[in-house]
Amino acid sequence: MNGGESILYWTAALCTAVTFFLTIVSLVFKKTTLFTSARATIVAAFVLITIFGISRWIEWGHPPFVTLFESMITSIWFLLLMYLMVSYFSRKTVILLLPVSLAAMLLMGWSASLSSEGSPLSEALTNTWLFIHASFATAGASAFLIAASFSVLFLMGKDRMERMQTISAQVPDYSDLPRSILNFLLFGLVLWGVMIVSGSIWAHTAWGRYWAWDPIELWSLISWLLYGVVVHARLAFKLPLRVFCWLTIAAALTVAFSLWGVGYLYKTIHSYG
Amino acid sequence: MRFNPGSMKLAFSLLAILLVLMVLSAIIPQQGLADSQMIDWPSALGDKYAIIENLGLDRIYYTPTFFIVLGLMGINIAFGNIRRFRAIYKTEKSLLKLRHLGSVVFHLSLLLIMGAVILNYLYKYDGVYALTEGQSVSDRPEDYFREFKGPLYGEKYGSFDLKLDAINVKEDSTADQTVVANVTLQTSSDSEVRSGAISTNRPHKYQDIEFHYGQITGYSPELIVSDSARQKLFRGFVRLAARPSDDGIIHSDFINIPERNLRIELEVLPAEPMAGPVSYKVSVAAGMETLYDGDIITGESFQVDDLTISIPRLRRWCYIDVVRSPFLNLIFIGFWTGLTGLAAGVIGRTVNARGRKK
Repeated sequence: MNGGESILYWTAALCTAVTFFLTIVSLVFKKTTLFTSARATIVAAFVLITIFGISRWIEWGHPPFVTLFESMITSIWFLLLMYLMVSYFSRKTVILLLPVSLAAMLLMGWSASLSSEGSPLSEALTNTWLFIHASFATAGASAFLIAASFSVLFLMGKDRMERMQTISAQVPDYSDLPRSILNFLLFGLVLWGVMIVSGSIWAHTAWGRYWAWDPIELWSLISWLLYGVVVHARLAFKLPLRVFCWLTIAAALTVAFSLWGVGYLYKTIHSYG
Repeated sequence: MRFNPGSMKLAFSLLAILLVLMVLSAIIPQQGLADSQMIDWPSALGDKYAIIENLGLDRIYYTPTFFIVLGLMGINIAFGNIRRFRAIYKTEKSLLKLRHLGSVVFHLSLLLIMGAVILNYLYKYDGVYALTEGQSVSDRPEDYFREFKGPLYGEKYGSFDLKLDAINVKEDSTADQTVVANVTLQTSSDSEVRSGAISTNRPHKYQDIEFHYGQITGYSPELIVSDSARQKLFRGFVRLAARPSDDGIIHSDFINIPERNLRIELEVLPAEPMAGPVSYKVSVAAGMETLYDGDIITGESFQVDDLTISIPRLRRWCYIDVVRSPFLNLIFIGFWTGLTGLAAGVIGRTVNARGRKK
C-alpha cells in the first residue's frame, strides 16, 4: 500500500470501529441520537473503502479480488453496500449496525495481518466471467452474513429485542425477524448460485474444465446445498425458529470457510495471489 | 407404511447423504482430481487405506452410489413437485403467480440438470494426448495417453487426425505462463484440413469436440544412440517429465536400452532453455556402474565405450485433452433457467409479502 492508500485503509478501519462503539454506547446508554452518528461513520467507511478499491483497481489494472487481502476488502465493501441498501429500504435495521460493523472490523483486522502487496492478473485469468464470479461471491456472502446477523438478533430473545425497541423505534420487530432471515437466505442462494455458475464458465476458459471438484468449488457447493436444506427445512417442516437461526449461523461459517479458509488448509488452484 | 417417493423426508435423507459424500471427498484425496486434500491418507493409514479404496471413498464422484443418489433425488424432486404443485393449483387455481412459477421453474431445472449430468457421464468421452511438436496422432485408443469413455459412449462422432505444429510459451508479468499450441486438424467427415490454436485460456472447438490445453508443458530433446557400425539403437524424442521442486520445475527423465542394459538419464538445464543455449545433464549407467556423467549442449555428442550419444534438437511437448460432452449445453440451460426461476421466486415472495403487509 502506498501512503494515500494506507490513510484510506486505516481511516476506514477506524470508522468501522467507531460505528461499533457508537452503536454499543447508544444501546447501553439509550442515546438514540448516536445511531445517526453511527450511520454516518459507516457511510464514511463505505466511501473510504470505495476510494481505496478504485485506487487499487487503477494501480493494478484489475478489480481488487486477486489476493486474499483484496478479496477481504471487496467482501467488506459488499457487506457495507448490502447494509446501506437494506437500511435505505427499511429504517428498522439500525440494529444491524452492530453485527455489520463488528464483521467489517474483524475482517479489516484480519486483512491487516496479510500482505497488502498487489499482484497483476495473469493473462490466463483475465476474463469478464471472473469479475462476475468474484462479485457475486462476495455479494452472496454479504447476504448470508446479514441473514446470520438477523439470526443472532432473534437468538437474543424477545425480551431483549423489546427492550431495545424501547430505546429506538428503528429496531425491527421480533416477529419480523424470521421472514427477514428467510428472504436474505433466498437472496443469498440466488447470488451464490450465480457465483457457482459464472465460476464454472470462467474455469472452462481458464483451466479447460467446467467443474473439477476443486476444494473451493466443493465447499461453495456444500454451502449452497446446506442453505437449500435450511430453507426447505423451514418452509416444508416448519423447523423450530431457534434451530433455523442456529443452522443459518452454522451455514454462514461454511461460506466464510469457502471464501477465506480453504486456502489455509488445501492446495487449490483457486489460491489467491 | 406407504412409501412416498416424493416425500420431503426422503429429500432430506438424500440431501444429507449427498452432503456427507461431498464432505468426505473434501477430506479424502480423490483419484483423478486435483491433489489438493489436506491429509496424505495413503501414507497416514498404510494398509488400512484399502478399506477406503474398497468402499470407493477415494473416487466418490465416479461410484454408482453417487449416481444412484442423484437419480433418486431426481425421482424425489419430480414426484414431490407434482404433488406440491397439484395442491397449490387446487387451492389457487393457477401456478402463474410469480412465486409459484419461479419455484416450478427452479425445481424443473434441477431435474433437467441432474438428468443431463447423468446422461453426460454415460455418453462422455475424455482423452488425453501427450504430444511433442511435429507429432501426429489419430483418434484411436492406442494413441491416447489415457482416456475415459462413458458406459454408453459410441463411435458415432467420427474420428480425426491431429498434428501438433508448435508450442509457444508467453511469459507475462505474473509468474504464470500462457501456452498456445498450434494444431492442424482433419476429420473423417470433412476433408478440409484446418489449423487452430489451443491456448491456456481458450480451447479449440470443432463440432462437438473440444481440444483443451492439458496444463502441462515440458521439453522433449531428440536423443540418438548409435554404435560403432552406425546402427541406431535409439532415435526419438524423449518426453521429459515436468516435476515441481523448491528450485522451480525440473525437466528430467530416463530411457532404457535393453540390448546394452543401459539407462540414460536426461535433465534440461537451465530452467528456461528455449531462450538461449541449451545444456543437458546426462548420466549413462550400466547396471550399478556409472559410465558417463556430465553436461552437453544441443548439437554435441559424446562417446561411451563404442556408443555415440547425441542430442541434435530440442522440442516442447504438452498434454492436449480431447473432450466430448454431448449434454453440456443442456446442463447450462438448466443452470440459467434454474437461477432465473429462483430469482423470480424470491421477487414473487417479496412482492407477495409487501402486498399482504399493505
